[in-house]
Amino acid sequence: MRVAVATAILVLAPRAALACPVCGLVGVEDNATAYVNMSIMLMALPLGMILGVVIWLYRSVRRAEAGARIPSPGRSTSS
Amino acid sequence: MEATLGPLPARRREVVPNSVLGMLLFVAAEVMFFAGLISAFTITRAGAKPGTWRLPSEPVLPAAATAFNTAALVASGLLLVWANRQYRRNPASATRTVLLAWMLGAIFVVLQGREWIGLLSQGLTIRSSTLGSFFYVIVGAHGLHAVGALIGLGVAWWRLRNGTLSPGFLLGAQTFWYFVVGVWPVIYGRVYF
Amino acid sequence: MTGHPHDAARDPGFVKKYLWSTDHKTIGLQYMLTGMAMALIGAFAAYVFRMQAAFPGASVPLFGPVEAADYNYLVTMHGTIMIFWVAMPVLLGGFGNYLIPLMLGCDDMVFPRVNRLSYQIFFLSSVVLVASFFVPGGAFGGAWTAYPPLSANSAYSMTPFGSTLWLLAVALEFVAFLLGGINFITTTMNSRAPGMKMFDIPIIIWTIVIAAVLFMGSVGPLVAGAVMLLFDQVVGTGFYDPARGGDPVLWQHLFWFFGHPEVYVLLLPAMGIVAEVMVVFARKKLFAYRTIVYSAVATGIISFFVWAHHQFVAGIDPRMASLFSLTTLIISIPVAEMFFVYIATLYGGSIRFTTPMLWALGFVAEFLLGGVTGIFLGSAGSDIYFHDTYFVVAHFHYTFFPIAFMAAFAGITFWFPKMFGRMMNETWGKVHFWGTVIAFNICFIPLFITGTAGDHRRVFDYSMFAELATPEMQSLRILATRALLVTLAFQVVFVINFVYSLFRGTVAEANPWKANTLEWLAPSPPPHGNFAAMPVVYRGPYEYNVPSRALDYWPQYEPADATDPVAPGARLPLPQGA
Repeated sequence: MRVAVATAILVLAPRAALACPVCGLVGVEDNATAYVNMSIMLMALPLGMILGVVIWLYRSVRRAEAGARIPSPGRSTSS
Repeated sequence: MEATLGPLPARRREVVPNSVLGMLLFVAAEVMFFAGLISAFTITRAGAKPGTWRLPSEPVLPAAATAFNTAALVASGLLLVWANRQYRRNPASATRTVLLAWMLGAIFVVLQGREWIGLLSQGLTIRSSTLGSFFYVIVGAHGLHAVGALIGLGVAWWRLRNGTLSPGFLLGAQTFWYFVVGVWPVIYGRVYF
Repeated sequence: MTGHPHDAARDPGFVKKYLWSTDHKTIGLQYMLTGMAMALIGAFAAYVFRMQAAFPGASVPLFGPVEAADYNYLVTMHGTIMIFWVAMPVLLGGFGNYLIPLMLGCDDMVFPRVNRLSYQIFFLSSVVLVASFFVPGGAFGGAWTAYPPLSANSAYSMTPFGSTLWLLAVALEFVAFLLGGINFITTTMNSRAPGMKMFDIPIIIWTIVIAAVLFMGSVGPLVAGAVMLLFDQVVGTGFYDPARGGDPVLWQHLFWFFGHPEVYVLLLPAMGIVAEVMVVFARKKLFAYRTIVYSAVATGIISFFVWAHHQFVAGIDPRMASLFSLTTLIISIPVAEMFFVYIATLYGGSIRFTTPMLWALGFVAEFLLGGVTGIFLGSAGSDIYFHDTYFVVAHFHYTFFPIAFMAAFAGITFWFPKMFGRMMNETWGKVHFWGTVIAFNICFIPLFITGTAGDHRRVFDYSMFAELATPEMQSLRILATRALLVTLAFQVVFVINFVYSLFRGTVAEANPWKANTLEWLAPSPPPHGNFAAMPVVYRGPYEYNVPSRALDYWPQYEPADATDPVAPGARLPLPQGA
């Protein structure tokens, strides 16, 4: 029961549990929302970029290995 | 197993061009740098008390005038895409397009500099308000990157003219310039409005 | 860039060979030795402030009386140096540079001059950091996390030059590792020996590359925050000043957005070293190679979702706090997975307790303690009690000491024959291991207890706090300090063993441990250009005790020829594709 009440307060009125020593009273809700949004952005952005590069590399590797299987010497890439 | 068949393959298999991969990784780190600045800007603006963000005495950022600079920068990026196509067909034919793209980029930097001088004279300085601090740090960081990328692109143009340009160098310089062009609209949309 | 083998005959001279070299091995050793030299400074700082904590007010030998400001900068510099100037250069810069080209079977990094630049910037950053000890006001004393407003305003930190130099040094260091990381990833992608597919790459290369990717993905926001902090310090802006519309909690987010992935940037290479060492001395195929790779990737991904557990008491949205508690607990799953796989690798192996193996086993045991105590700190509720106590200190020393020292010692003792062509002394190596590990535990277990009793970690003199200054608590602090002295004393054994073996050790052959990976094909120490003939890879890196073979190891570079019991040209049923 106590857990349910605590969860309900946390979900329905998170400001009641918000202990922000520096936000002041004005714009607190905006600030909290901005934190959440920017956190999501900062987490998603690097993973998205890494995923993009990895997919690109994966395709390139597949292509290179498919090319290397053809046993003619002229096909091997040179540096 | 396939390695034992036929002649030894080359020692280095560049699955993707070294310069592009290296530059992409660098650009990814740079994108995160600007993401950090933008997120700091957003959070601080959301949490600022009224009156501490932009002082009433300070000018409003000239969004309309900067739209022209933005257009010049984007056009420069598009020109460079076109230059790359030309380069693939015939390297020498891309010389003029690369120069044009470089000049558009330089126009952007010069106009941004003029805008700074105007804003400074109207009382928006890096210490005058939080908006001023963020404006000069973010736009200044982008400006420094633009200057660096222009130097790279200028060297690429010079080498292209003299016929000493390696494809890897052009690709690396291009990748960095696309980053500078691509990150600007985000900054513009976020900071100026 | 690729014409190295011909240069080998010519002696480039001392400066070109050791100080201005583009050779990855020289750069790797430069990183490693710089890191070890910085470790001495970090260890000295620990010695001084622990003496103050145990015997407040006493004059510390070799230092003198410790003032409050001294205590602050010593603690700050200890943390900064040990993480950024010891763990990073030794694990990433040192082993990464040394091992990646050798284990991939190529002659050098793809951007050798960028690599040289990377070390030079790193060296410059070390000089800047050390110089900050000698500027007016002394070195920065606002803790290694540099929270504003303490770090932003010299009126609070009272180190106007020290804090700026600290920030500059850290920023330079990041640039150095950024350049290094680009090299690591690009080299691994493009310069593998022919035949080496994605899942033939040794685990340590995987983990170093994943660590480099994590570093590159997470460092940007911190650099942004550092630029803002620099402007606050030097120009006088108010990014982190609430009175002027700034937000001090913002720095904590930007710092820990990098700071927590950084933990895994360091953990992953350490796990890689331990995997290599364990497999060789268990003489058994690595259990579940792909699971380790996938777990490392999963650790890397989740590490981006945990940073805000450092802000549980800083006033973050409670909904966020519960989410970050959850992700923090989740990240222990892939790490635990890797540990289980290591233990499964040991099971049924013919284990040889050499010095590197002892360090690797010690790593598993000690890091486990660090990981388990992290559960308490990752849960928002209990963290509110434990925050900023010695429990936290003990927890992260139980993670970072195994990472930065035990895994590094495992790696150094394991690859020493390859690096310098001579073996290290086994007996003294074991003396060093047991002395260090036992004393380390006696040092930090008391700190768990004092932390649980409420011992705050940033107190200079406990006599001000009656409930903390009890004789019981003080005796635990003294015990910890004495154990620290013993730990430090045993490092002398290592230094002597290292220097002595460098000149007088038994000469090592190319493959003294009978290991499989490509670096053991090169002579010890490898010449410029590494290999006489560039190797070709025929199989995965962990083929030990293959039943149909007479020898208990089967190097990656050895062709499956007709003299071999296995059918000619047969490739073992290894994972294909990728």
